[in-house]
Amino acid sequence: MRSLAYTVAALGAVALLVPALAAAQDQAAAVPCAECHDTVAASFQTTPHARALGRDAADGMVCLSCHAGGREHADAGGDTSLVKSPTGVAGAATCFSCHGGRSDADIEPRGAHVQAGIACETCHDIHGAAATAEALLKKPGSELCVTCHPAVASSFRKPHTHSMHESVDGAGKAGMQCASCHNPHGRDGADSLKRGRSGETVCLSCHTDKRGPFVFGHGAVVVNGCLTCHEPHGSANAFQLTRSRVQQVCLECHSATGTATAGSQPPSFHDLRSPRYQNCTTCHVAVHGSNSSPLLLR
Amino acid sequence: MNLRSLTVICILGTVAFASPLAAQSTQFDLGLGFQWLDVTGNEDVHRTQTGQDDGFLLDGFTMVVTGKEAPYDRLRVMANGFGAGPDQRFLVEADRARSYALRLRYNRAEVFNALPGFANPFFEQGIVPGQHTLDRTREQVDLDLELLPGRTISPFIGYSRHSYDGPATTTYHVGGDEFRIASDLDETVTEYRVGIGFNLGAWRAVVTQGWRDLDADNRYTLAAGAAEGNNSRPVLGKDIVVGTFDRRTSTKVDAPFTNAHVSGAFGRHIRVVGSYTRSDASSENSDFETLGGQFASFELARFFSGTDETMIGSSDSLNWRGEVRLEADLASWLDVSAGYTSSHRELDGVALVNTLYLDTVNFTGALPADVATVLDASTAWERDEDVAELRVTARPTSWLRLWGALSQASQDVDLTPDAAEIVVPGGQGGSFTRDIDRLSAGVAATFGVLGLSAEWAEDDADRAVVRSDYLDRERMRVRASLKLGPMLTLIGTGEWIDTANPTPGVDYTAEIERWALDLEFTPAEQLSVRGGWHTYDSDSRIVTRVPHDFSLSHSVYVEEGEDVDVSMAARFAAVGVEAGVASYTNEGSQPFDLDRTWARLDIGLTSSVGLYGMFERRNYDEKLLSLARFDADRYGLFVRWSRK
Repeated sequence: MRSLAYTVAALGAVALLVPALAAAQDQAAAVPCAECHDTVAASFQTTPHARALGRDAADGMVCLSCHAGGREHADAGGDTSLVKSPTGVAGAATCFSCHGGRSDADIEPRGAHVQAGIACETCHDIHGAAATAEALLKKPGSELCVTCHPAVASSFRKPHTHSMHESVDGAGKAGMQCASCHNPHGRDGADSLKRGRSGETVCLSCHTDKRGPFVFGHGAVVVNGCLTCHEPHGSANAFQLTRSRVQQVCLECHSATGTATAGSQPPSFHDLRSPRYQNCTTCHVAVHGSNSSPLLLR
Repeated sequence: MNLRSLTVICILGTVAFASPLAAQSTQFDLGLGFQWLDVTGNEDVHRTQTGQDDGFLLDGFTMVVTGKEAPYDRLRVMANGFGAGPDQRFLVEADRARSYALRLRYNRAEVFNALPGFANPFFEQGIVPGQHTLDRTREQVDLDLELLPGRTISPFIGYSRHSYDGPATTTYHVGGDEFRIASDLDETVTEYRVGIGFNLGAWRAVVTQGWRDLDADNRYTLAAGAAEGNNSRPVLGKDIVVGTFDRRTSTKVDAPFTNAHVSGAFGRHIRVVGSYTRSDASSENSDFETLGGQFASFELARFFSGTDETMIGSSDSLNWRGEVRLEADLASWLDVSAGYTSSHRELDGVALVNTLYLDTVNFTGALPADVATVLDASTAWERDEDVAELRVTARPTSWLRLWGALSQASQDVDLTPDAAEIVVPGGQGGSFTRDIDRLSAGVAATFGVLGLSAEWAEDDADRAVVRSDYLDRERMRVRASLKLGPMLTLIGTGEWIDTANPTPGVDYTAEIERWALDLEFTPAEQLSVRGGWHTYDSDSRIVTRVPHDFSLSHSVYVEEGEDVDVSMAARFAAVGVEAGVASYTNEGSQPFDLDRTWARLDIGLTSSVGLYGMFERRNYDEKLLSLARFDADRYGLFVRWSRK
């Protein structure tokens, strides 16, 4: 409660101070960009950039926010060598001057896509995106991702998958998007995966019943996480398991063969030839963790 | 107030907020209609895979309202899936430049799973589905409001409410048998968060403080027809049956969290990033159970007629993660980044389980008594990981990019199991350390319309913590792309991953090979054709101990998948056509064929109104389990209305 009081007090103080810190408006003269670039200016009017920068495209001031040298370019009668077009990898720095840097899930100037030469304008249509488009994207979310990542799209055409946008697996429009789990502006490898607000793996942002903390956790979750047993994109197997038979998933770790590894104690005498014992989770139902059973029996 | 009510209120509020009187301009797209489903074969498997149903469907709705006189500069509303769809989504984004940014998101997902062969000891007798099924709903509401975005200081607040509830069936192992039981879960996670963002030009920071609570109740009862259990044979001459069963569990979790992120630049060439996240969760759990019937316990060496059981437990879990990274441009063509990440997770758990076994007699039928047992259990685990990495990227020419990286990860895992968890001493808990060295490199080159790239990574670990950890892993990716303007795009990719743990007694090998070739051909603006061919081969082998005779065996899992798809889209005047076929064929441990055919015909009635019909055929053939097969046709007829 004390920390809450401090936080509320801090926010109140900030609310009082902020008006005094507001930036002064730029009083510079207008630049007639729209006189020549009328089509671009017209479509740009409906984009969030035009409003966020507080100017109409008609007076050209907003254009200068990204196109340095625009005034000289206009004064010189359209000399294209004088104006900068922030494209390519270098252009990403221009975008980053306003966007990003605020969290792990935000835009990284050295993100995997930028490093791979995939520039902002590859996915975003800065001037002419449809007014209803999300984040100025050229195509809706995942539909855009799979144009360059077709093999991943193929994983979602297996029988058991996360429910994805229909452009990926045909299941329905309202399902998940690639960006539900991945940060398209994030860094390479595991860093492209988002994390929950409290730092947990992104899976637990939706699968809240698996978050715990459980009195008796499952070592597999502790050591390597959800991907120890599950395929994140799509799987041939029930519950997106990595193996077709549940006993395989379990016994590959829970086998004693002389190596000192976690969880490798010999399993009890279970006759796997009997249908009762072929699915370990028939008894060990609480495989994600239990609050009452050390053997994860409930 | 339940989530549906909250959603209705939010929708009404949005409509009022989007009042056309205040709007300068409004654009929207709407698709609304009805869909029919015709499934032959296993409807449960079809629903498990797709979640689709009959009924009205809001196929899609997006609206953008802009207005200088309105309380927002831009309002964007999106909704789809409501009705017969498996997932529903509703989103409102409203902002006024440098004043506020509001985002309300609602997601609803139906979680259904009822497979004939999963957890099903009676499959041979034709009883389906299996004993573990789900028919639950997950709903998520997230509301975030940022004040003064883009200014020097931007406070924000957020609220989230996630719920997961509904029925399921599971199993319960007790008294010498397993019984199918019904579960009714009601779980709610509530989260409040406040924070401040700082924007000082080249330096930006965000600090967030959040409070998250989980409140879950689960009621278990005996499922209909499950009194006899899975074991039809008597145990020591007595049938094991359940007469009455009732269990209620309650879980409450309190999890405050803090996270902070700062990034900034020293001059034009050096940037630093730091982040820290900490959460400190504690849970309180209780469990009350009554059981009646006829049972046997080999632990007690007694028969008994029921139990009264109470459990209380608690756990505390501290997690934190800190990262610092330095990025520097050494030259216009050369940059380097170095980072260090340290993370810690720990848990301490205790549980006290009191069980009263009623009307017990020993296996000879003598010495009647009620027997009370107490399990006072505690567990703990702790996991630390430190990762240091260095990466160099070079662009010696405009068409070539090279990079190389190395990293070292050190893991330290301590597992302290309770004595009750140990079946045979040794090998369950302990302290484990693991160091993983990774070396990786890549090259990418662009020759006009042709792009080529390759990546390679090699991991070398000194030991495994769990048996399926690798000691050696090598990964290779290649990509080639050809883009001839807007007319032709050809992308080919390949990937190999070889994983091994050659430790005697483990002998783990896993090989994955994946190829993909995709073509998009757009000869005219009104016509496009695409085709794709993908293969996925996986072969994994590891030595395991067979529990019933303690012999050694190889656990083998193989996939040989081939996925082919062809589709086209065309528009001629007011008529648009899309059609395609896709076929995924898998051989190996879980062979199946999954074929899809789809088509969509769109007819414009006016410039803004039209009708469209859709058709999808989904055919699933699980080759080892004929009961899982289905053929499903889905038809839909929709009206669309748009205003640009």
